[in-house]
Amino acid sequence: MNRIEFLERLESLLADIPYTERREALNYYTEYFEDAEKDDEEVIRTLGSPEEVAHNIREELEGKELAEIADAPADEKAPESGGETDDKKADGAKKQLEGWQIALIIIGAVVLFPVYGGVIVGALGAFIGVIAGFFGIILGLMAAALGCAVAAVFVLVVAIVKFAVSPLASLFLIGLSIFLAGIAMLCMIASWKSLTVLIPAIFQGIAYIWNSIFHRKERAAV
Amino acid sequence: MVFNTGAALLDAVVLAVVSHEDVGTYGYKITQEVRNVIELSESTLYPVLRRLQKYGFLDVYDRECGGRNRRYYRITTSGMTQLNHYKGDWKEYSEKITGIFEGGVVHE
Repeated sequence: MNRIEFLERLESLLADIPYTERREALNYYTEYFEDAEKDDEEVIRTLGSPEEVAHNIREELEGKELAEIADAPADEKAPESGGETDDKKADGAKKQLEGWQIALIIIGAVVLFPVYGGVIVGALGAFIGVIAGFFGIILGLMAAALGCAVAAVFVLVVAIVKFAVSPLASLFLIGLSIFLAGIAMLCMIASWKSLTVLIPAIFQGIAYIWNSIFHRKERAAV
Repeated sequence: MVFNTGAALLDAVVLAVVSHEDVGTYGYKITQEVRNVIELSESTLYPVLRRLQKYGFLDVYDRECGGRNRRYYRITTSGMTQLNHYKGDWKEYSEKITGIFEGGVVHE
């Protein structure tokens, strides 16, 4: 194995750690080979396998949170914080930025909750209102369809019963009955259509709102 | 060597090695110097350097060297304070151990 194979293997082993961490480690070991001024094989023998090297890096990264609390003496950190921040600012602005951005987003989210919270609740209320309204219209149409159908049947019955007494009036009633049946059918078709159109539309709307919130979060996190 | 080197002692040794050079020193050289006193796998040094850097005990800068970049590590003010803290603890600890070994009574 030469240094190129070693570094490529290391890179693939560290594929899932943050980009900056991976780049730092690869830069370090690239320089290490150059500074060693020895045969690649020999350097790798003292370093260990790429797996070992990756394991050490990963272990340090994973233990970071705990180690930072346990290892870095808390009593020491407070009085030193002035100098420490200066030192960090001098060279570690890039690394700090990630943490800062995350902290800023969290603080922003908490502080601004009364603002966007109201907007979210309002939007949710409007959304539910619109859906309820649509369902109301559909229910109304269904009721109208049922009413018209019942009326049509009733008028038809009356027309048949009264046919012997006054055929002309009965004829008129039969016409009315057909007319009512037509309206009933129209209402039924209308309610059915809005139902089949509305239900997919609701799901699409939910999916759209979900996506827009999710994508905004993603963008904010980047 | 039968005695293990804990994380704190390794941090202390690395800080001490880096503190010896005013302009700072680089990874390979630090590794070789640490290996002169402590037996360890060379790949354990990078995570230590990275950690000390994150704590703000070391800072880094890149310097041109033979047509390429070389990363230098330098001890910071807080790193120096930390090193002195380690040195004090070590002195106390090693004196007690030595005292026991040489049969003397340890006075508190």
